Amino acid sequence: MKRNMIKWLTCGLLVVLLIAALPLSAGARNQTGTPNEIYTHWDTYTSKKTVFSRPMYEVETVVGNHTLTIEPVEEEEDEEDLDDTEETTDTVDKAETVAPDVPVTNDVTLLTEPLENIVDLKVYKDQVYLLSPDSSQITVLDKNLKLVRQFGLTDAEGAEVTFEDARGFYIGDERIYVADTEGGRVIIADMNGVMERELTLPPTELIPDDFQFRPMKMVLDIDRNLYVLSEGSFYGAIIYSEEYEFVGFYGANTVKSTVLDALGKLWDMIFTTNSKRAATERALPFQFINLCADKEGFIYTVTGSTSAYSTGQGQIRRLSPGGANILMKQYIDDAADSNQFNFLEEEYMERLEKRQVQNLCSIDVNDQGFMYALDSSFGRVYIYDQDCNLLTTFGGGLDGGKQQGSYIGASALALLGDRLLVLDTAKSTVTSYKPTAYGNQVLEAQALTLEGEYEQAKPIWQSVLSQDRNNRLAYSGLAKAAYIEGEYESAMHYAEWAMDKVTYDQSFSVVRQEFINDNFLWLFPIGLVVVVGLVVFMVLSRKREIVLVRNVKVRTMYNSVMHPFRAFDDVKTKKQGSVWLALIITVLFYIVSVLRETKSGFLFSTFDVSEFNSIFVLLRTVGLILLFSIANWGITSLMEGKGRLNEVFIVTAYSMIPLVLEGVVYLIMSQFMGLSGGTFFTALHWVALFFTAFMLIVGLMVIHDYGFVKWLGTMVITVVGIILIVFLLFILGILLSQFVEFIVQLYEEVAYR
Amino acid sequence: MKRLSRRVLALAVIAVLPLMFFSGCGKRDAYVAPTFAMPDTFSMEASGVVAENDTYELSWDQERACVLLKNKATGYVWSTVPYDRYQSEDSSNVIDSPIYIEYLDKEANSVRTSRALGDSIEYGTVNSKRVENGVTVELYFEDIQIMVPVTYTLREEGLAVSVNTKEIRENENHLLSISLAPYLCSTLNGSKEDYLVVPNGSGALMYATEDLGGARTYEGEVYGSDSIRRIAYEPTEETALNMPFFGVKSGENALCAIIEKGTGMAFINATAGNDITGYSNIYTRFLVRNYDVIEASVNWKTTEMKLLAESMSVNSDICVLYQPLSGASASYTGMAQAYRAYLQQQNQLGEKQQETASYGLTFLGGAMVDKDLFGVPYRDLLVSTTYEQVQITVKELAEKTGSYPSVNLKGFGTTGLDTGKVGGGYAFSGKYGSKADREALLTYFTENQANLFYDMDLVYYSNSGKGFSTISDKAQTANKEPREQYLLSKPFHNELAEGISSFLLSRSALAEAMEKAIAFGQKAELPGLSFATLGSEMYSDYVSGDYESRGGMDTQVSKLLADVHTAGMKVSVSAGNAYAAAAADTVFDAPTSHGLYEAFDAEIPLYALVFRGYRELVSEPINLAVNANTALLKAVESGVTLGYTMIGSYDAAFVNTPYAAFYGSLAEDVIDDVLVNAEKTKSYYNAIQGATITAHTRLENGVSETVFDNGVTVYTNFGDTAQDTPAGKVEAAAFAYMKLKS
Repeated sequence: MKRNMIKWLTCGLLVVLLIAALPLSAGARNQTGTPNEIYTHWDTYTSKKTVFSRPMYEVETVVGNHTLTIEPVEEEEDEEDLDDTEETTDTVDKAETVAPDVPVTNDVTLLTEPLENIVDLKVYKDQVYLLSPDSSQITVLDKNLKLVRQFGLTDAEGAEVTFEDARGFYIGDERIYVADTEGGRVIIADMNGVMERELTLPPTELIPDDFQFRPMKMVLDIDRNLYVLSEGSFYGAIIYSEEYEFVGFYGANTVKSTVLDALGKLWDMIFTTNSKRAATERALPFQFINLCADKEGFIYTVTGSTSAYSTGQGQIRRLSPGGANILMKQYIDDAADSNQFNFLEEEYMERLEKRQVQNLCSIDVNDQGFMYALDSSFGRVYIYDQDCNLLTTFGGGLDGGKQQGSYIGASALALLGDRLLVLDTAKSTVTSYKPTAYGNQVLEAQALTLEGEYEQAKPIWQSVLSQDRNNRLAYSGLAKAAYIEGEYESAMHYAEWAMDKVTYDQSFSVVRQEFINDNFLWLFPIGLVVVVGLVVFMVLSRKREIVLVRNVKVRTMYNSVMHPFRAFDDVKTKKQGSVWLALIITVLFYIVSVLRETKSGFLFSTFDVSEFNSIFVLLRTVGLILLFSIANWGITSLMEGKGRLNEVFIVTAYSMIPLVLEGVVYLIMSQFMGLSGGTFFTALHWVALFFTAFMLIVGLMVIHDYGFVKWLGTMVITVVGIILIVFLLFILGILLSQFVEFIVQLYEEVAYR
Repeated sequence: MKRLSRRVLALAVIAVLPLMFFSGCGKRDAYVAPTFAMPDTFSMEASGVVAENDTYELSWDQERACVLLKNKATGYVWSTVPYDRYQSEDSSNVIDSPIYIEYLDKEANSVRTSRALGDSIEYGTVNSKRVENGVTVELYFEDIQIMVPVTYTLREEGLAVSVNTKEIRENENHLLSISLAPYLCSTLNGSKEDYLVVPNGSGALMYATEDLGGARTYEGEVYGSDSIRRIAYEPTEETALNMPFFGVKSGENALCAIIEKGTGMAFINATAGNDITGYSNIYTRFLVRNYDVIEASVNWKTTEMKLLAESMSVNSDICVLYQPLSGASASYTGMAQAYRAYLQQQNQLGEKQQETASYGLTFLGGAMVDKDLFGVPYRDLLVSTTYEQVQITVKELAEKTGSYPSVNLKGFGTTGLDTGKVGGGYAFSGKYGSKADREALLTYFTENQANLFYDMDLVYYSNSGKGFSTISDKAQTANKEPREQYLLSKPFHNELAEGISSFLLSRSALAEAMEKAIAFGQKAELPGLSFATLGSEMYSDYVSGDYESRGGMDTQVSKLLADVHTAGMKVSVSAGNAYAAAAADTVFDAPTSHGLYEAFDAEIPLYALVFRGYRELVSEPINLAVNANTALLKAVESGVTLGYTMIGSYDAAFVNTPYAAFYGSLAEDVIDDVLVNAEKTKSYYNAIQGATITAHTRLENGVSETVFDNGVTVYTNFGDTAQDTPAGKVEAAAFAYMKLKS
């Protein structure tokens, strides 16, 4: 019999393992017409998954040395234009027709200097500016990405101003700001390239003495304050007023502190000497590495990878005037600031024994508040909305990007109207993306949805959905629209697809209320009859001493909940405990535990079939009860405990009854209750847990005939025993798997040689 | 009893130990190239004409060790040393070398390149002798002790340049690759009128123009990369070179190069606008042997990275046929026609055939997804399309468009689109519908004489069954290991090595797999079979020397597909390699765009130029294209009928599968577009039925002109504004066609 059981168990395990190991195809094809996968993220309860999506952007053109030419210009017009140049001080609007530094050949006009090592890209008044520090040149392209001019900076006397080590620049307020990083200055020039002034480190006590001014990136806000990001500065950006007076530091990242960190600090304060403390590495905030401003004047920052192993969290931040992050992330059932949200992938890749970490390096925001961020490691563009929902991500390459839309050294992005430009420093190219028809629809619909214009967004979302069934935002948008239109069941349907629990809850509460209203006439009497009946029954059964359960062992089990002292004493002294009943409760505990994970109401469910395995539930329910029983019996046997193994098992199992009952209540009520019921369920769960703990304490004390202190001591040792047993099982498992691996290798060697 | 058990155990251990000991000794004998020895004397064939026919004259120049192919009619000369340089007598190691070789320098433990001019010809270490219709040249690279024999033979069509791999000599330095006649296919940089032709995807041009950006380079492996090689990371998804030919146009002349032998080892290298050499050139590099990087022990405590060469592949010679073209034929159209003629001459491409449908549909059956049984996870087939849904959809479309589509049922095996047993287990799953539903579907197609193909994967498998084992029938790498195929991650394209895997079926088992597929098809009375993977995957299997370096895969697949025809069924492939496309009736996912390489300057419908009119071509799915309208225009321009991918029902569980197509393929979402596009293109596709393309030109302002041999000319406007064409005004993003009156 035993043998057969073992055989069946082994077979069952093998079947499960085989089924779990059924493989997928290796020949997965990605989307048509793009060399990299285009996908979005679906939030899950614990993480997020990558989900294919229809392309929102397509490569329009790639410009670089191969393509940058000026259309032929009539010679006479050229002369006129040149004359104009001399007379004009504000050349921005006329720049499209002015090309003073560009030689004109018969058919095309080529660059004076080849584009090499372009480090930054900016868009200003529909023109694209490229910064080439090696040649100290700025190249200007028009909105069609045709070459307009190439120029360097000069001082007032006309002498050349070089900036060979500049890392960034900014164009705004009719001025060019060049961050001459190595030169430790910001060069401010007019749009003709004539230097007006240079900014160096302001003489103020607010800046530490050891602060090195190495400007990298800059931005102007709507009040014309200049934010300068200096390399190595952990204090945030330096703000200069419109008059270039030092205002202060702004928006520094903060160091996340844990309880352990706090305890460590306390320890250091008490026990560490000054010299040791000085030698200790201090956790400094990660410096944000680029910034931009939106039309409302809010500053957005991006923080790159935080270590060689981690992309970090809260890489994108929207800062209030006070410098605090006000960007919120909308999770499935909660909202929180984006500081703890990883905007990038949960996955990582190892290549040549080195972890390749994503690194956000550039950001821009459009008028609707959609944030475009660039990962320089892999050349991927991420587009987020203000709720931190990823709309799409595209691009790629990781230093092997030979195809359009893939990169070797992606370094900056900027928006040119509805187009997106991505700079590749290594290839000296600018890739222009235009939104696809689908992309335009998604952007428009999501902008309307975020503004609360759900009905207006509805037809667009419907169109989006017909093109991309994986678009969760579309389901969410349609759910909201349906709710507004009073189509609550439809809203629930869409919200469930969208994992939009808030809209589902709102719709569900209306549907539930309508159901109650419609059926009140029969629901109320039935409810009344049930309640009155129960009360009457209880009163009568007590008065007349009706014995509902005649089986003494079942009654003991029942009583263990109501009268644990008496019941467990009966288990010990009258042998009224039942191993079979204990087994049934243990199995019930497992079943209810699985059902509460897999079958609870949508609003309370966190079940994901790809992440859940009830084998683990089996381990933490049945396995734990058995393990605890064995460990406790083993320990108490050595410590004068009087309980036998079957009694320990019975007590432990009976103690689970509150949790089983709570599970059943939760399962039923979670189908009908709204999100507000969450507190009730939490409270109920805690009550059940305490009750279980109470029963277990009482039961073990009674059967072992222990006082509380002794019980506590044995419990501690029991826990240690459990850990030891688990450790031994773990070791055994490793040895077993190594043995199996050895056999497999042996077989393969024989088979393939 | 116990004693007996112990004895048995002891015997087993004794039996296993020697096996372990000798397990490394049973390796198949690797090919060892004959030993290099420097001859005492070198003899050179005297300069002069070495072969001649009605069209060409082949001359040998003893001094420069080069050959010159002269077109007698035009007087134009193609030479291994570009003819203008040949005349000027300038000398350059890069340009004038008839071959480059890459070798593994054993001493330096690195891969190095050697060029024939500087390392052999200039030292006079060359033997040449006249052979029938040509000359053989033995190039001795004395310093590195390698000899490569190159034979130039004049044929009716042009010049064949070949290397007999068995004649290669080497010592300790191992030859890795041979770049053949790097500047034979070259032109001086100048205008856009001169260009290089690359058969990447639909086809691409690289203009012979210089600019500030310097040279534009491209290298691709013919028929895509060898799946048996481990690729742990791909920066991007590469588009394959699916035809083994390339070419150059120089003024009024062009040279078309067809890789005749050694396609499995061939790479096509192209460099346009090289401002250092002043030339744009394209050539083939043959990887005769690969190498691996291993960590070797130097002593007990240190290791070093060593390059380890594989054995040389000698199962196939190397041969490239260079066909000069002139006048009207000196274009990519002419090159495509020359290649088509070559396929016909080789009996690979039969007579012209009319396509039967004006659009094609690929239905996806389903995929394996995670399910749970009381919280215990397992994988199960989730059906996306049933037989009934296929029939309903096709019926509706046929009624509304008045024509029947060619239909491909993909992923209708027992594991859907996922790999399982070979050939999908040669079984139908009841989840797609009952036997009656399936028979009704087959009857519907048979009665209406419409094409229906049932796709079977004979290349990838993951489960044993139906006579194929995952232990003994796997293709092996050069290191004699089975190559596990893993999925690539979406974000980074790196191999998910901790994930689940599948294997390549051994090449020697393909015939049996096909036999079973045919038997299955016949039993089920399927009108057509589709082999998406077999038609597009070319791979090596180092179980046998015959299959090394992908040797013989083209002929093997051609024969296997011909067997299906013999059995009375039609055949389709997807994005098929040239040999598979030629052997099929229908090609689904026919490429209409190139691989978006930045080195390319223009897109051309080279694939359609070769196969249109001979094989039914169905485009890549329009509904999944980045820009559906552009995809439609490209299909129209190429004369490729419109293709769509469809599913009958969508489930969110499909997001966990590695297949992108599910998001945009739901029939109810796609069907309106199919109808609209069918209406738009119906008369055009009717007008070009069975016609081949005789000319293709990209006009200014984004308009392209495609001329068919039945007198139809289509103008496709890819631009943003309406354009006047001989067929009338063509609106932006639209097309118009006209038919000349006979």
